[in-house]
Amino acid sequence: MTSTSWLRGDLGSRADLLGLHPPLAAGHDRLMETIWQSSVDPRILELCRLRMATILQNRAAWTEPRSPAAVAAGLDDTLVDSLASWPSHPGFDTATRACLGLAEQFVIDVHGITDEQVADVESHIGADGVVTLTTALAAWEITHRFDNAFLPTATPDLDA
Amino acid sequence: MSTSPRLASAVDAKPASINTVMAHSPAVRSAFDRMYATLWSDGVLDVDVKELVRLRNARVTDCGL
Repeated sequence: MTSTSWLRGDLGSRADLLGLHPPLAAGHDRLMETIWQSSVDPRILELCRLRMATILQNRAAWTEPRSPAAVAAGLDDTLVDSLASWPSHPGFDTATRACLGLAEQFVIDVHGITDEQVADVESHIGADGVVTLTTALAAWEITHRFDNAFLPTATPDLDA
Repeated sequence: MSTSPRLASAVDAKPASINTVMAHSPAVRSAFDRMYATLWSDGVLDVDVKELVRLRNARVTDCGL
């Protein structure tokens, strides 16, 4: 996808924009690297990131390359293509479903998250995983909104 | 709105709080803190403006902390 930001016409990507503030870009990159190298299955992380992108209508996240860590772990493209139907699609295991459920609730209505929902996620990925996943969800919500705010061709035409 | 942490403390003899819960994933916490510190220490915006934005964001998102 080619696009330019209204912020500056020669900037066409999130990396370009973050590059306007190198220390912040470095911090962002470091956080992302830490998350992708964490104990949480990167395939689950990538599915959550993409699901949030759809809900927040960030096309840029769908057109950029998939997470290398998730691809290396064997990310299943058929699951990526079926992401909108994760609650009923048989290809999603219970851990992935629990995490996707939390990701959706996080972005749609964070105050609707329940004790039981967090306990379910914790039973699959542990307390360290919950902290990592929740931090990742927060970071991706920012990223998706950042893209939507500054990359004008990130138009909303994704089917939720 | 619940303000009780939904995860146990990762620090012995310390109650659950945002800090002791985040301690379950120290590498992520450290990376987050470094980025967060950059937001406050770098850039052209005055910290007063940043704090007003933070508080307004907390109000809009109904953050109880």
